[in-house]
Amino acid sequence: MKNMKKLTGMILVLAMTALSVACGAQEEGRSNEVEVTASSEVKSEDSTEENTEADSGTETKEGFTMGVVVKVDVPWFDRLNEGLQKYAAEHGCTINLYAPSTPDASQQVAIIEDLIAQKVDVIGIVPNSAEAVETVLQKARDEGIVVVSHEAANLNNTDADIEAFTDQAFGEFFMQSLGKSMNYEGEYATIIEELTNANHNAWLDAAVAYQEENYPDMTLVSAKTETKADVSQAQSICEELFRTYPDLKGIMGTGSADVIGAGLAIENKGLMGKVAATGCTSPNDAAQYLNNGSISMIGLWDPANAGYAMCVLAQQIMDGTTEFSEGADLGINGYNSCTVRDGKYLVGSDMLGIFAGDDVSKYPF
Amino acid sequence: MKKILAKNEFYLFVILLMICLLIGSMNPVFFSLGNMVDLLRAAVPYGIFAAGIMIVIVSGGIDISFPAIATLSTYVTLLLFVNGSYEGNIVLFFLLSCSIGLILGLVNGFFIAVFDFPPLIVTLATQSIYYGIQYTFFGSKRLTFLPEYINSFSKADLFTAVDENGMSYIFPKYFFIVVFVFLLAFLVLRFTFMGRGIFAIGGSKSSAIRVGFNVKLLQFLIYGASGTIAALGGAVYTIMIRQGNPASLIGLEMTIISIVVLGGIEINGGKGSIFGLVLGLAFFMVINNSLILVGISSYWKTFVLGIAMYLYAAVIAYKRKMRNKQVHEIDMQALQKEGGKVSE
Amino acid sequence: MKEYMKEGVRTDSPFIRLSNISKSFAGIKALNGIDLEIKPGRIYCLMGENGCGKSTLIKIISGVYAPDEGEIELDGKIMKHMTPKEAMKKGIEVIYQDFSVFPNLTVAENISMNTEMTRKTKIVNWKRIHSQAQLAMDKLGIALPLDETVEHLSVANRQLIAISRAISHDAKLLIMDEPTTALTKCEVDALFEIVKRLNESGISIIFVSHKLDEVMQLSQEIVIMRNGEKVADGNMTDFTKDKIIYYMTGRKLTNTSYRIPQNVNSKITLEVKHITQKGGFSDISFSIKENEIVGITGLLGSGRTALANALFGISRIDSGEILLDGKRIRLRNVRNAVLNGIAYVPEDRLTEGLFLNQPINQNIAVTVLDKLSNKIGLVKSASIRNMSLEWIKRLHVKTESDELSVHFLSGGNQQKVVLAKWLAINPKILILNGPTVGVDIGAKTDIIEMIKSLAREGMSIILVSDDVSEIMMCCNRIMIMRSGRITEEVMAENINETELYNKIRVQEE
Repeated sequence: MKNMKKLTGMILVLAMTALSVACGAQEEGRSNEVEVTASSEVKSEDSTEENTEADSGTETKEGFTMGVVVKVDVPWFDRLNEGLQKYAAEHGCTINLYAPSTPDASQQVAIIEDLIAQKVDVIGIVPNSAEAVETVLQKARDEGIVVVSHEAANLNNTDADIEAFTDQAFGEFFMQSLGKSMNYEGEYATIIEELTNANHNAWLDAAVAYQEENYPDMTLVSAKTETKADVSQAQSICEELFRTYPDLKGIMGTGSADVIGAGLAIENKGLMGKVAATGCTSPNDAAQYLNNGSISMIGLWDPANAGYAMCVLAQQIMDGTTEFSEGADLGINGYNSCTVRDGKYLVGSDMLGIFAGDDVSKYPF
Repeated sequence: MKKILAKNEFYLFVILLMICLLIGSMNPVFFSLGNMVDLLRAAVPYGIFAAGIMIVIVSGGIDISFPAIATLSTYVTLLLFVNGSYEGNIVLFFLLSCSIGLILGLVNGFFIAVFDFPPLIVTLATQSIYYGIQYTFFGSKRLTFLPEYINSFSKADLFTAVDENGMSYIFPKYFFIVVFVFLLAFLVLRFTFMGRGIFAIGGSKSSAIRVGFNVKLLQFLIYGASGTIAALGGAVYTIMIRQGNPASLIGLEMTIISIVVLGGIEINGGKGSIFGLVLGLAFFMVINNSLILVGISSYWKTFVLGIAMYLYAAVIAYKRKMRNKQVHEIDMQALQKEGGKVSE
Repeated sequence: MKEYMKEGVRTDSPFIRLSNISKSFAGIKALNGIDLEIKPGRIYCLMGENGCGKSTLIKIISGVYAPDEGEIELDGKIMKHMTPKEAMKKGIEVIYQDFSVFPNLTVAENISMNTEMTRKTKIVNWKRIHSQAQLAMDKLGIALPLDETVEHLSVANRQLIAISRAISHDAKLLIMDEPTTALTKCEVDALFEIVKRLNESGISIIFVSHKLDEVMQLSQEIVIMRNGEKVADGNMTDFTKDKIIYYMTGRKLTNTSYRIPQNVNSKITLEVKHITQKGGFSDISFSIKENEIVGITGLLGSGRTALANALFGISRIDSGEILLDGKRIRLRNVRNAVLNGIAYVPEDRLTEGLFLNQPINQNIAVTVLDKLSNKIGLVKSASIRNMSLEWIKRLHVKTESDELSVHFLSGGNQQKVVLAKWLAINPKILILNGPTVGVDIGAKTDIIEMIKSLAREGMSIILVSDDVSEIMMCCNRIMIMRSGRITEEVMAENINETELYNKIRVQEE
């Protein structure tokens, strides 16, 4: 009798789990629909910096269908969708954005499978894990679908990949900004979201190298304290840095939690204008701190431009380009002269810096 | 004196003191008022979460779903107040969040009490269910434009000191929430019969049933309380970082459980005190937030934390061994006395 | 309380009367037509082998089970659907074998728990808890530190706490389930003193036990059960030891002490010279021959267990030497001992000897896995089963299958499995520590017979125990230890139980 009760209970738990998973799958499809319509509305009223004509080679297939799978459903990728929709409107294409509810590789795989079944012309991918989508992308390419990617410099099964910038350039970009805020002198410290993140390490290494080369009056006093992507932890770390190094003039972070935590700490300690903080995050997250001056600058790239560039790449490949050559021009701001590796990995120089005092509301993502 | 020496808390206190002195000797800034204020502030969310988990662990259970409960209840509340037409206020924000937490906690309690499932499995399941609900129904967007009352409560201070460098030290009002939770937990555990029941279950569930405790009801309530406190912690955390971030509490369960264990709370239930928990929390906060002061790089952080925990565990184990030896001797003496008495 | 006492002792109307009680579980009759009267102020003893229905009967009296048939009359009122809480309110208190104490709570809190519970307390009054506990202990005439946590107390003291708790609010009937199992002799004496004192104050006591000597020493009335039926009851003076055993087991058991078989030329197998272990024992020398069963006895803390542990390599000796078949050996660890043909059946079979959740056959085979495995180290399950089935048969282990988990077995059968496990290595020296502790009389006889037959076959056996009857039944030679030294050595034929008992106790004075 008692066992019976236990069994029923156990089944109940299992059923609940199954249900929630099932709901998840359903829900996902629905939210994507909403996503697409919502952002295509945005597209009509708002457009990216510069209206550039697409390449004039329009003799072949015009008006392709494309599905773009991004990491997760966050405003950042709404912005990317703006670029996609801009291109779609200019060239009469049908482009849909698909965002899983969690940053999960398996959900991305499932969506790509669907797109293959729908026989789209192009699949765009911003993978959560390049390794995890290799197989399914190979399948897509075998079916004759063009694959273009973004934020995936190590993805093999892609026809062309576009990166906004090199880690080197981005790190130097931060240092130039931090240096300027510190008047090119004084002590600064670096903090990092995850010590295991290769990009974040590369940014900081490039930044410090640049400082040693160009700003001899600046000193790095504490390097790469890990914040574990926890805002509260980042705040504590920054406050500890202030106490340990009373003359600290700048903090360079990597990910969002770093720079937001630094902003909180600077605000909390009333050090606006005395300590500069930089890092990579979205304008939405940083808005309140940029407005009151507790964050001096955030660096990023405009995902709309990257989205537009993906479409251009797709078109060029369908037009017959098999290999891109150094200095390729994708006809959009930041990607006018790309460096190219192995004929298909393109890197632009689309670095966007938003500074304290700028009108952050211009960047609603 | 003997009584004090017998307590785990005493040893933890000594170790803590030694570590503080060590850090202080390497960098005197450690003992500055500013550092203490910042440590106290940073400890707030950890303290709240740990108090809830401590109650569950004392009762012989475990709850690892609390980060999910904290995330979900706070996020849903925020969504309502950010996107909804209703403006709300800070009290309502706490109330609604805690109510959702209570319900989610009671779901745990239901499965554990009624079906007698192992708490680890139940809360593992509900953790993924709650996160699942969060991501499928509410998404993983960070909410950054929060109502003004949240931002202002985040900045509200009890007092602010400014040092000679022009750096201010804000002692926040929300610190009282953790004080309140600790006080409440202390009173309930020490001075209510229900609280003693929690210890009784943790010591021996079968004995508690035989003595006449309504063990099922108690368990139900314990997990409800745990959920409520988790939601409170989540709300405070959100206020602190001024951001609704559905990802930032993921994986917090292990940290909190280590704090509880460091506080001398028996992981198998039945033993522990709020005083110990405070010491465990202090121990964790000091180690976690002093490595820059003494110039240890992040690469070494987990290593140092691990060594510190190991040392502590070793001291406790050694103490227990000595204690058992001692007890054995006491028993022998008592026994001989008794024997003597009987033969009179 | 006092009033009740006088009344209770004099009147003959029973406190509780059971008539024709039957109870079945899944079609199997656990109790069959039991009639029982418990009069106020008497000490009853409920006897029977494991599985005879004793515990079911207790649970019916305390309201845990409702009988299928029959009637319970309590204080002159017929009780229908009596719950445990009602029984408790009426003054029926059960002290279970595990005492149901809270190891993590203080003495004071443990003792006051029941009273506070019936009081429906919301807020804890620590002062009251302390004074209640003090009061209850005063009643028993004991003094334990109120603020000590119970886990730091000995088993005997935990039991005293359970008793204090039971009597802390008007108990009229105290049921004690196997209260002496884990106690040493002098703890048992102390307990009996207390039981008598309680009885004098008018409380009836039901004492569940299978230790004959104790029962006969303490009880005024006896109830004997077998196979779910009451087979005998009456005044203790009408019963003899043999009669009780006969009723309990349904057979006549003979226990004669052990003599080394004649006409055998036994060699010395194990010899120890001046071995000392700090804090354990000092300057111990003795030797043991084939076919011998040597008893080592003494009070708790006399060093007997420490000596047994050292001989099995669990702890090391600090000085002295150990010779096996004339050759000096070093016992650094258990493996050394096993390889030298020494086996050890520990005192606490549950914690030291068995893997409770594992099947019987695995438990038996665990010492000889290397012998049962083939060249590449894989163990053949068929050979495990064959071997264990043989031992199950030889030792009369009562079980449906060798695949059953050990924790389903009764204490006596568990002990047999531990024995089988060590006998499987075919040892030259077998060390037994309290082999029949907590075992019922039938199984006890089986085990003792087994030990004797092993000795007859040539094994040297060292039996460590504080149970005088066990020692007397088994051993041909007895060594008495005190404060870590052997103080006396006697041949079993030159001493009787009472003398030995007194020798052990006298030393203590």
